[in-house]
Order: sequence, then structure tokens, then C-alpha cells
Amino acid sequence: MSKCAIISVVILLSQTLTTLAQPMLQASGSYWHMPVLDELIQTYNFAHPWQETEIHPLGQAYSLGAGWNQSIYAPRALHAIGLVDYSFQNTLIESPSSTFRAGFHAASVLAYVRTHPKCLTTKIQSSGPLGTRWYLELGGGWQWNMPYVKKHGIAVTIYDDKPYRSISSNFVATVGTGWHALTIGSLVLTLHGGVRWNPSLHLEQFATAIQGHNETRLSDSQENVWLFQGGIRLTLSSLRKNWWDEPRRGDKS
Amino acid sequence: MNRRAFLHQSAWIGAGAALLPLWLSGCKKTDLYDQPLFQGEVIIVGAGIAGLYAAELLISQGVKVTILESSDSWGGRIRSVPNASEAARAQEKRLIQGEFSVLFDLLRQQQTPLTPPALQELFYFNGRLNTPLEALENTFFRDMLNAVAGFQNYAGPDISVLEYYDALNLSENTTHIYNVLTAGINGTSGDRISGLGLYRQHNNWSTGNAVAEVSTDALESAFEKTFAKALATIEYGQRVSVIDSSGNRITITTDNGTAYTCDKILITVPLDVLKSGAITFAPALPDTLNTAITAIGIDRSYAALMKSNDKLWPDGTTRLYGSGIVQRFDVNDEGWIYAEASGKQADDITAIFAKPASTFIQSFESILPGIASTIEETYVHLWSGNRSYDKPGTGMAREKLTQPVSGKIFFAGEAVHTGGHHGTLHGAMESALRATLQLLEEPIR
Repeated sequence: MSKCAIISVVILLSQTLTTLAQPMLQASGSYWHMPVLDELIQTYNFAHPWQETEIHPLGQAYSLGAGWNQSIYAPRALHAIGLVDYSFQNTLIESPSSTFRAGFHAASVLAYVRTHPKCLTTKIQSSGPLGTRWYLELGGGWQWNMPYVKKHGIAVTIYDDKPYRSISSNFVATVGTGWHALTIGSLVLTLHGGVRWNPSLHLEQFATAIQGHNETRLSDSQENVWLFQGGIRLTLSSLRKNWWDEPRRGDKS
Repeated sequence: MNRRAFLHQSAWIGAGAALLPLWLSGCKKTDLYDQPLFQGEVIIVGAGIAGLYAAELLISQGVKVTILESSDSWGGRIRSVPNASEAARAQEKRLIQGEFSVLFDLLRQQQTPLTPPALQELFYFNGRLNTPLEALENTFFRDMLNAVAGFQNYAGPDISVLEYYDALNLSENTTHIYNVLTAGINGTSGDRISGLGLYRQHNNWSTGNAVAEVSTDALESAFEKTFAKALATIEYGQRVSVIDSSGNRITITTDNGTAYTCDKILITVPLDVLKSGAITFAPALPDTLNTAITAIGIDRSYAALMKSNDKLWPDGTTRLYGSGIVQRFDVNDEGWIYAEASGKQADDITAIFAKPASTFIQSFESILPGIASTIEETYVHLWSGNRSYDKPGTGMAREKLTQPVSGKIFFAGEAVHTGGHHGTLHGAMESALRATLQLLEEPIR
């Protein structure tokens, strides 16, 4: 490919990005189904029968994300979405004599393909801001996990004098759906929900850090996690008319 | 839609999204078991810390527990010199390493006073007591410390630490200090403990390195409050001699002829009791277990508490390293002396045709001339087994001991800890947790 052709492609791409890509913010809450980590906390409770309060298993997380949404095939309302999100969850007990806090940070980079099913089955060529509101998306990406455990107000140490720290990463797959709820000016508020499958969440030495030992079968285990997510997305529609344009003829949804 | 309505609806939607996972997460249970997995009767042999903790855990699950204890007191090896006077016993302290262990959690919960240990040591070599600064000026002393630290990365052959020391051609002037630092603190002597074992212990240690000092009285008090239900189940003076698991129920017979029956049994006695064959198993334990019991080291140990009415050591001194048969003396400003001799040193004391107390006093006299005449109280206790340690060749023996026999017989105690915490109180508790979970979940075969 000649240098001229490459420059042309770059210009074309940048034009496309500036005209069609739309910045997006996402805030969501999620429920994490992770039986092995639940058992870890339950075993901790079992091992501390003298505790007045039991520790609650990790389960809910809150996340913030930012990304962009780009139309890739308008006739079928196909969009590519890139999203970077960060979530945090923790569990805690506090008593006059001791505190226990554990949880993990998770950051992910995800790519989705989104479509409005109605556009696949009819000749409607655009979703419109509040036209064909319902969409489906399918994606995948990579998630990085950073667990932490604090006891008595200080980060636990296990094999040496350094605070316990571990970073692991793994593939995730996700399906989602959403509903463009309303607009205000150029902002579109979308209700969003999804399921994320994390086939091998591995929080290295998390069990050891929580228990202070690795005598139980839970040591260093990994598990299959399902994450159910719900939240809102705010999308800034482009000033130029593009796929957020008025509903086309025939779009009665 | 105006801005106000937009914000209003956004807030509702956001709150809904936030509360739903919270509600779902709130449905997760905090207890390990929904309902009791095992409803039978359990007998625990030994009322040491492992036995008490296991009993408390089982009782919390509704299991009927009886603890059989051979002596007339609970606590096992919590006290070093159980025959000492009350005043002497009040002086006893324990160092607890690992601030993130279940034991620390228990002590914090009971608001037990934990203090950082003040370590001020004097080292006897070259014919005199040396302060740490003086000692560090000596090349041989520094080489000795490097040899001790070397076990953190040791990857050589599975030999004793003394053989390793000899191979380095280090000065014999400091062998006794090396012996205490590598072996004495583990309840044995340098000719018996494995260098690879020390390496494994160091590298598997997983509960933090901070050390705290706690008085044994306070420790006992914390256990008494925490394990009140377990303490109520102890039957004292019942030395188990036969465990017959051939029938549907296990029959346990004690030395005085009392018989007990149960569905499952948890054995927490010190390893030396199992080694001695004092308990007969019918049918016999599998060979793998007998081999494991033989492969793990545990030695006899003398522990002494003495009182000097005119201490000759400098104020603030906490430990003196001796060069005689007894090589470690923990002291305080009130004139109390705690000393321990294990492994080869303990065997040497036994071999001397004299009262063990006089050997302790003579050893102290050899590094602190004149001290013998100031000793006014002496209490010595002989432990047939002190703390377990890895011998050359111990390998994975501890892992084998964690295997239940027929789903009926389970082992716990410091010697059955597989993760480097053997020889510690929290190690005993952790192995008891593992055994309790096994006991509750393992089906009888």
C-alpha cells in the first residue's frame, strides 16, 4: 500500500471517528456470583466463632466506565463500542478490638458489537434517538483484578514483610441489552443491563491472605464468576447528524 | 423533557441500579453450612489448644463432643513449666509470631495485652559475654549470622543444619549460638533439624512476621473465655490407650479401664505420644501414616524457671546465649530466668547423673560466674515431646498425616500443620480448623 493510500485511510478513519464516534459514560452496580469466594468468607466466619459480627461475602460492586460508541454499518444499526471500566467491592467488619476489610479492585477493557434487533428484521436503517430504543450487544475483553486484605487497620503481609498485593488478569465475555430512555439536549440516557462471564477469576493468594494460612482446601483457588450488571449510560450524541438522527420513515417503535 | 425531570429520572434509575445488586448480595449466606452436616458424637483426644479450638468449632455446629485429657489440666503445652509456683508461673511469657493469624484475632477479640518484645541480648563466646555491637565486630559471629540467614534461600542437600555449619568451616566458638537460633527455637538441636525444612518453613510462612509478647496467664485467660463450651466437655485423667475403629462405632479405652464410644475421633495428642506407641489402634493405622509419624521429628525438652535474688546481668537484658549444655537463658529485671534445653542438649542432661536443675544452674554459672549462689527457686519440667520439627527426610510427611482414616479418625495439632506453622500455637489452631472441616464433611467409610 502506498504512503498516499495509508494517509488517505488514516484521514478517512479520523473523519469517521470525529463524525460518528460518540463519547459515553457508564455507571453501574453489579452482583457477582462467585461461590468459591463466598465459601472463603464463610470459612473465615466458621473459624471465628467468637466474632460478634459475621463478615458478609463479597457480592456487590459499583463501577464507573468511559468509552465510545461508533457506527460501523448504519443500515443494520451495527455499532462498535469500546469501554474501559473500573469496579470496586469490599466487605468489612468492625469491632472495638479489630477490623477486617477485604475486597478487590477490577479494571477491564471491553469491546462490544451492538445492534438494534429491529433493524435486522425490518428496513429501518437507524435506531434514532428514541426510535428503535432497544438494543443488544455482545462483547469480550480483559479484566485485571487487584485484591487487598486489611486486618486491624493494616494491610496484611504473608510471605514477607511487604503488604499483600497481587494482580491477575483474565478473559471475560459479556452480553448486554439496553433501552434508550430519554434525551436532554445532546445527552442520551440509556438503561443498561448485562451479564459478564469470567471463566477463571484467580485472585492469587487471596485465600491465604484472608485466612492467614493455607490449610483448607480453599488455598489459591480460581473460579467461574458470573456478574450481573445494571446501570445507566450517558452518551453525548454528535453535533452532526448521524445515527442519532431523527427516526427514519417506518420506524414506529 | 426538561433538565429537572431528566435529573429526577436519572436519580431514580441510578438508585435502582445501585440497590438491586445490594439486595441480591444481601441474600448471600454468611454461614458455611445451611444445616449440620454431621450429627454424630465426636471424641477429641487431648485438651491442648488444637483440641479446644476443634471442640468449640464442632459445638458451634451442634455436634456432641467429649474431650479426653490425660492430665488434670487443660492447655497442653501452653505453659512451659506447669509445676512452677504461682509467682513463677506469673512470670511466664510467650512470643507469638504472625499478627494475621487466627490466634491474634482471638487475642485481639479478648483484648489480651500484646506488647512488642524488647530484645536485648548478650552472646557468650571467646570466654566472655558480648553485647550485639561487640559480637558483630567478630568475623566468626558475622559468618555465623549469615549462615543462619542462609536458610531463607537454602537449596542444598537435605542435611542437618549442623552438618551445613560444619561444611562452611565456621568457628566452633559460635556453634552454640547457631544451635539456638536454628534449632533451639524449634525445640531441638542443630544435629537433628533439616536445613531444607527450615527453608520450607520460612518460605511457607504466611501470617506475617510481626512478633508480640503475651503473658501465659493472659493467654490462658483468653482461651478460658473463648473456649468455655469446650472446657465444659473435658474429662480429666483419661489417658487413651486403645482406639478400636473396627465396628460401626469407635470404642476408646483409657488406662483406667473406662470405655467411650463415638462416631468419629479427632486425635490432637503431641506427636511423641503417637511415636511412643502409647495408643494402640485397631485396626492398625495405615503404613503411610506410621511412616509419616516416624519421619517427623519431635524431641524431649527440659524447661526451667529460676529466680535469682541478686541478678548479675545488666538491667534491660532479655536473653543470654550460653555455651554449655543449656544455651539459652531468657531473663528479666526482677531476677527471673527461663531456660530451655532440647534435642541433644536435653539428652545430655538426662545422661548426667545429677538433678537437671543443677545442670541448668551450672550452665548459667559458666557464663555468669557467681550467679549459682543467688538462685533461690528452681522449677524444671521435662517434656517428652516439645515442638515438632522437620528432620532430614521429613519431606511431605505432614501432608500424609492430614489424611483421615476411614472417614473416622482425624489428626490435628501443631505437628499436622503443612504450611510452615508447625511448632506454633496458631499452627495448632489452623490444623484443628482443617481437621474439623474434614470431620464434618468426610463420609464414614
